[in-house]
Amino acid sequence: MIKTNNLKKVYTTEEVETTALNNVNLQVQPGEFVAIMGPSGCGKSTLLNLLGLLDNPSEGEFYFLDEEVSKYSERQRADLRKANIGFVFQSFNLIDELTVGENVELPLLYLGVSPAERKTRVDEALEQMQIMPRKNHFPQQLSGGQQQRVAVARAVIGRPKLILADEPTGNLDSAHGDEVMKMLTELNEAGTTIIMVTHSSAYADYAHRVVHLFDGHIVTENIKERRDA
Amino acid sequence: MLRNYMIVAVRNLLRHKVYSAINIAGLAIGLACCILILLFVQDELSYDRYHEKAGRIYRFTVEWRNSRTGETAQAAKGPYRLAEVLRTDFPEVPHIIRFNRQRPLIGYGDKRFFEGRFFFVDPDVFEVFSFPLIQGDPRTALREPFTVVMTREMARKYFGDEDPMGKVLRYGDNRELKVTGILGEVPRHSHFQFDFLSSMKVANTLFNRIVLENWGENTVYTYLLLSPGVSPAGIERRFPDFIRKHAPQWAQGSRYFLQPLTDIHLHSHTRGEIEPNGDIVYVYAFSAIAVFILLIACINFMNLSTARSASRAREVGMRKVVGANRSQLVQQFLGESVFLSFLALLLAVALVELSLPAFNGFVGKALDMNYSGNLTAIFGLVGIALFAGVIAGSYPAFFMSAFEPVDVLKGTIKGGPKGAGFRRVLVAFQFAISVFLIVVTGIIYGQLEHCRNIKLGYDKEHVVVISGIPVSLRQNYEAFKQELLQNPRVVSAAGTSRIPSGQLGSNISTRAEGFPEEESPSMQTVWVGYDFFETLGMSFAAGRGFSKGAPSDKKAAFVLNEAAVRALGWTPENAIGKRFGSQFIEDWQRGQWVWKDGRVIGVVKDVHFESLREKIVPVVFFIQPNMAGNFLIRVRPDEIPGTLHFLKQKWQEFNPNRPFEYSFLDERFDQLYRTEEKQGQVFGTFALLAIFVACLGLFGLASFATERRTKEIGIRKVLGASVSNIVFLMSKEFVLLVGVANLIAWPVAYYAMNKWLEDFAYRIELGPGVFVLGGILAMVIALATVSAQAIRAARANPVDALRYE
Repeated sequence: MIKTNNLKKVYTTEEVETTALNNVNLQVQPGEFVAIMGPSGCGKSTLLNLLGLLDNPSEGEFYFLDEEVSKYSERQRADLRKANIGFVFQSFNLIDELTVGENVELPLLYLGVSPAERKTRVDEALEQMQIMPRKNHFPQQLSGGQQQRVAVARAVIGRPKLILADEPTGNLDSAHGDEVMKMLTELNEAGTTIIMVTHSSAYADYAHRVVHLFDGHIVTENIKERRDA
Repeated sequence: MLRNYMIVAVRNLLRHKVYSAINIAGLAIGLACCILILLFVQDELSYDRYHEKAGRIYRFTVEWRNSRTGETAQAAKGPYRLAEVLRTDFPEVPHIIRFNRQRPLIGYGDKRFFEGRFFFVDPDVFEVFSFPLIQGDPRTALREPFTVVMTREMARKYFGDEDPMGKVLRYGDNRELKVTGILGEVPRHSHFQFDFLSSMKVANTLFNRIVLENWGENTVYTYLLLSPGVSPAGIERRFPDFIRKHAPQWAQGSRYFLQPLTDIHLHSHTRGEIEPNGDIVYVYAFSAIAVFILLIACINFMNLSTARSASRAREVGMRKVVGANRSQLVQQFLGESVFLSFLALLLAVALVELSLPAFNGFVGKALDMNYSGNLTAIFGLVGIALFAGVIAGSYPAFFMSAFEPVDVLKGTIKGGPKGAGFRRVLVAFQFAISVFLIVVTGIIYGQLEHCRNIKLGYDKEHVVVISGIPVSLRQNYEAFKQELLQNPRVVSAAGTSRIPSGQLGSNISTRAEGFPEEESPSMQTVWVGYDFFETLGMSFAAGRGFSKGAPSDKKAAFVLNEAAVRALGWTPENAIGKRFGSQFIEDWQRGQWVWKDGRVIGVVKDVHFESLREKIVPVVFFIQPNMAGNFLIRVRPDEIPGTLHFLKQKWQEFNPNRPFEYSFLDERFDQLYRTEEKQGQVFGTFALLAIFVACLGLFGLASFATERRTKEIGIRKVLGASVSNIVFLMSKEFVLLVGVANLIAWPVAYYAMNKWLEDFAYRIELGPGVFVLGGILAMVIALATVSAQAIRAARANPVDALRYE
């Protein structure tokens, strides 16, 4: 599903050039669960942003679903992204002015889904994440764990092929963190490819493969289960 | 999708009530001002358009050119004969209507009033003008002489509830007018208003020969109705020949032209307008103000929305992540601002309704929001709100939709420095407009004060004026005066043909020693009675005034003002004793002008006889009580009501058939500057509004600035900064902005006010004082607005601030 060749990302501010990623070669097969680990500042989030088509690499090639996307425009990336990728963030990033239901519905609006179908799918997703009773509440009224569940519901409602999770358990206590990991694992077993950035080796263990990043390079991989194409 | 946008917009509004309120209020005020001014402009532009044939109606106007000085003057009045002569020479003009204004005494039963809005008019007037005749036949009503058509109001005044048709009114002392028609409400937006229209057929009976035949006697307004397809320019081209044929003595130095009826109200400023007109300059000026204020309000909106963008950043990022593209986000934010704009419109309409009575008072109109009738108005309103919403929302929409999800989701966007430069420009611009308005207001009031306080050269306090005295009563002046002087509270009295604070309208030829007859300049002439100069308190540069003790004063003495003496190339001292001659009408029935020759016996110091807009012109004074239609009475300041009562009694002894109507000289003087006073008030109000709206914006910006820098302030406090250090820090950038604003506003204000002051022959000097004052005022207000926020932020506990992250 994903193949990168010599991916490089350089950030330039006025005088300083920071190479966040260098010579990254990564392949992810459909249905894989990959964890990316590394110390602070090693480029994990940058890599996730690139993989999620939120940004363009400075150099290198990036094949997403067999298309070379490294030079895609913002619009092209957005179109590709909304059809195929769901995101889960450390700080949930729910829109405070919308209720739980409306937050979850948002991707479907941009996908142009009809109102009737939207309603069905939203209810489905909320049931799946066991957050249905909170449908008309606002994010401020929910606990961290509940908010993350809403975020996951939003991530899966578009039936994406890939889910990118950036430290999904970072703001949660261990009980809720376990819950989220359980949800991700279930999704993966149902066929969704998952790439997750994490600090915790315990949670990384849920994955088939752990990729270690250091100073912008991939230094090693631990493979628990190889999944071939 | 729309529903989603609406929900977010509304909930956002409610969450940040203070800022939403500021935003909506600011925009509402801007819209309200815009609406009020547009109502005014719409009204001004619509004058005289209600006539069905308005597009083909023109007024005959003369332009005089003084061959010596090159100055031009325009006159709206022309000779009586003009119409007949035009009729023969220009057959393509089917109707020519003359209006001749009178101020007759009208009576019915025991009701007697002077009517100042009485016009003799040609009988086919209703063929040309669409005056609403509700009773009577427009084709025949004025066909016969001594018929009259009056307004419903006048009918009620004289006849009460009785049917006015066919009734007979007394005209003057010995004539009668039959009522042959009643007019409904004459639309307010006409360049003149009237109460009575009477048939011009009486001209041969009532007007004297001079008026009827003399081409130099300008007593009527002449309006032409052109046939369809006839071009006014074609007619104007034939005028030079026309003049040469009929009035060759006027051919040099006068030019005839046609004024479109619909242009008169805003563009015509001739001598002798029926009523003071508006001015297209005000329409432009007010339109500009409307645009300014709306701009300021939109700028505020832009600024506040952009500043607040930090709090929307995460939302923008997330929407992009889940698939929104940039144009969808632009749509969303534009939609929000248009939504807010319509909310503001509702509030604005309410504000307009509330303030219409006061506004109408200012501008002397009866404007109203004709919702049902005025489709243009409704569209206009919606259009303005849409326009404001789009303009105001465009910058924030484009700014915010450009946020990259990457930056936003990690919290590195502060909605800050990127937009700050542009926002600063906007604030500076707002304050520039405000300072401009403040300075303009200050200068207008300054000039007004100047007008009020300038030494006029005469004493205008406590002088009673009786005006419009007909010829028949003028021979009693002496006797009347002696009776009055018996009362110790009457100080002095005199007749005069012209009242100070009025207009000098009698430019008469002269014969001066040392000048061949044709070259002797014609001068404004005032015919007076004895004690004229004493009554007004005018002083002399040389010689003396008229005195009963010198018998030749009555027949052969002249007093000139200093300007006249200068125009003749004399000095006040050597003018005394020089031969001089002028003219007057000896026999009113025959209406003949005769020469009077004599010598100069005195030179009076220049006075501002007319408004300060006019330069002091040469004036000749001589004794001729039968030419003096006004009577001036100086009274003692105490017990004025008692004195007035005495005056009334005496007047009625001498003139039992005439009501006693009077005014005070200083009141008439104040009237001269009524327009400028109004202007000052209007500008003052708008200045206040502009500053208020600008401060609203500044308040909003300042609070965001402080919020954004909470962490920085916390750190500085920990490191030892005091409250005043912090306040200074926060205020610095705004002080600089206001300073720049001043630099922009001052030259513009200077230029504009210089132009305005050009209108006045006697004006104040534009010194730096008012500009600096305006700048300081704006600065103080801005500081007050900003420092409130800064002080609050500076007093906060730094611990709270640092825990922010």
